[in-house]
Amino acid sequence: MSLIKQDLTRGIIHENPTFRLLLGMCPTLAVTTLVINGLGMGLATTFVLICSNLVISAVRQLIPDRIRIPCFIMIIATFVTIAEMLLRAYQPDLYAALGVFIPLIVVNCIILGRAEAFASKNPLGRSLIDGLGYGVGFTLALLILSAVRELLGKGTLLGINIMGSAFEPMSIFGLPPGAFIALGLLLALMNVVSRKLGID
Amino acid sequence: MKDSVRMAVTLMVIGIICAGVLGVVHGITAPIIEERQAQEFEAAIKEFLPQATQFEEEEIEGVAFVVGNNDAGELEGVVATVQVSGYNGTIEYNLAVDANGDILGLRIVSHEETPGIGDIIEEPEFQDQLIGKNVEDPVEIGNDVDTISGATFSTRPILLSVREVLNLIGGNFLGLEIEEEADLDLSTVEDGIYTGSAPGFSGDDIVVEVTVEGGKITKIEVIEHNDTPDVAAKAIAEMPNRIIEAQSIDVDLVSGATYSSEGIVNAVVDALSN
Amino acid sequence: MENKLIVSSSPHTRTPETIESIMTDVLIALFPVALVSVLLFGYQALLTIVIGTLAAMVTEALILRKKDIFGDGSAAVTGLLLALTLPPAPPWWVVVIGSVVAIGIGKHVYGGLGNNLFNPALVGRAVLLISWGTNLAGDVWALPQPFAFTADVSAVTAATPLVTQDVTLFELFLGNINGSLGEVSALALIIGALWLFYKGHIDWRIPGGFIGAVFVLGFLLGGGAYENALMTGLFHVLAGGVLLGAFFMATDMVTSPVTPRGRLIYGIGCGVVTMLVRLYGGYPEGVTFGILLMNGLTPLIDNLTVPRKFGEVKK
Repeated sequence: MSLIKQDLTRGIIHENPTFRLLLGMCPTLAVTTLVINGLGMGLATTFVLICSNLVISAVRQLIPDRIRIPCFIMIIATFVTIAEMLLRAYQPDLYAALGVFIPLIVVNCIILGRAEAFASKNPLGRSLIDGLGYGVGFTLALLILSAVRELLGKGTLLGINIMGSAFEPMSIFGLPPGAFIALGLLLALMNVVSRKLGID
Repeated sequence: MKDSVRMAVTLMVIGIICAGVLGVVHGITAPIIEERQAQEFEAAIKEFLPQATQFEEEEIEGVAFVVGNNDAGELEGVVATVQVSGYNGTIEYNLAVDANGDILGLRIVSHEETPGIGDIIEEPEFQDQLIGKNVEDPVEIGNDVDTISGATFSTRPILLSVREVLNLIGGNFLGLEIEEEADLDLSTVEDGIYTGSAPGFSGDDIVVEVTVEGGKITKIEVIEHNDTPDVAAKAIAEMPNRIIEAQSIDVDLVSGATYSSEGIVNAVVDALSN
Repeated sequence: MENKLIVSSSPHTRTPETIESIMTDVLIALFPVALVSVLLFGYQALLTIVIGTLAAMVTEALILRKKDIFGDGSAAVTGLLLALTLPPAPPWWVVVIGSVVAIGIGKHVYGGLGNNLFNPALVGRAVLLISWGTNLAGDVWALPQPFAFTADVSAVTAATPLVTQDVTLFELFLGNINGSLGEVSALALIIGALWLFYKGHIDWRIPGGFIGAVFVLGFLLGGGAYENALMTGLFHVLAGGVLLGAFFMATDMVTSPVTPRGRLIYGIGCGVVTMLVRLYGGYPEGVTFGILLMNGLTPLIDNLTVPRKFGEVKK
């Protein structure tokens, strides 16, 4: 039981890919202009992460060590393409918002990182939980970052005006420099919070 | 040896499995995607031309048109489906024009432009400038429409092709006489050296010097330009020869340097029409 | 920290200078500039200056959890410099956010005075410029109304002279033109700079390189509305924020190189980037970006220009 809990929470808190490991920064910085984009990207990544973890864990004993990375990439790319086609067929609105970012999931190093560090060494069940934990951790981080950026940069949340009409949006938060500033400040905040809570 | 064979086989097997899985998923989703796109296109036509009840399809010069007529058989408008190369890959869009020749709207069907930069083509910020423009308006970059700075490579091809599609629509469906670009009439040009200019790729003028002797163009020299040097060089090396050889401006443009080539042609026209 | 400046390895020389005394000197040097801006733009300029300076000092005191609001004076300098780069009558909250960003993100995120990579006032200004460009660029520059303290200057506005290029050089020198509070009067800036030279807080290399590069590039490439290239060069020096930037911002001790050769390179770099932005860039003014960019290069410049030790053999 405690093993499951440990596998699950590792990706969400102790090794949060965005706030702790600083992995997958490209999609993190690029898509978080709106909450809906951040959420969609997080969920798509979670899907790919869980699937690739499962498959890689299942075939881990069949893959020769020296060519494991190309094998992992092929499996990941397959799932990314599947995700893209499924979204396009069944969720066209979300695809319209995210479409161009989805191929980027292939190069998101969280996925390859978990394949290499965990799924290729652990059994199916644990790999599934691990993928779920990291996916949720990534999604949560994107949600927080995109909420901050949308609120300050556009004055809205999920497209709904929150700040009132008198608020003049601070458009730097919608632009790349604002992404870095917001991420930096959030990292600092997370460090303070985790220190206060006594997490590692 | 045994090792390397095993590795190759493993990679191949994984590759085949992956390709197979993708093929199956594609087989399931492709018809749905296609149908959805067809539905979206139909919905778009309905939105652009709400009064139209009868539709005809036609293809002219590689552009697909849907012509919408109302119950009385009068023309309601035309929707064109256009494909142009953007900064990255193909941009497909619909352009709707009503019976008066006014642009009703632009709709991006698909594109692969850079997120956050080139995808501005989907935004009203870019599209609104076209709405309401008439077939007979100039619709010329720098005149009544403009590229979006920072996304020139994505917005420029759309604006250029819109102009061409408007010509097609005007000439074929609205019964307007769109002035064809007149070819050179060298017989009226006296011998001498003429200079002319026209905007090149950068938007700055390309200046040419055209020498006419005995009713023939004998020399074309590019004196000034501000285009990307390597690219423009291709156009400068080729275009003058092609024009002189044909004694006409109706020549193929140098691929890879289309805009610079076009600029040279236009500059020659400018020189000889003065 | 007893505020003693330590600048070199042994033998140690002690000076009576403290951060506080230097910052006080800078404030004194900025006084004529601030005075002229209040004379020209009236109570709104005064308000902007007071709000900017106070907001910066309060932010610093809150972050450091100190009751002494003046502290070492560096926050006051930052706030004042930021206010001087703004138009006479921006919305008050723009000024406050600028000061908070300058002190918070520009300075304390890096670990406070001495550790910041970029000039804090300019970080604040850059964030404002990108976020609310319409309040800080374009046709928002109030026309001055000399000695009319209560006049509402925001009523009459025009584009900055950098865009229109329709003012005489003498007007630029005196400052009876529209523009940022602190950049309008070249005369006041030079008086302030002379005080800093006299006290030895700045040396000629940074402002010299900066102004020289701007003049030379303006002379060579400026084009523009003036009779000859010489006047165009002068125009580019006197107009906009070049003098304010060259004397008071590029010379910030923390964010500029320490080696003499490095300072010259740094100054010239500031001038070159400024002119590139002005002549070919998307913004009318490039001083902010010029200095920020060279701030970022400062550690590199320092590394490359370390003087050779006596007897050291080149590898």
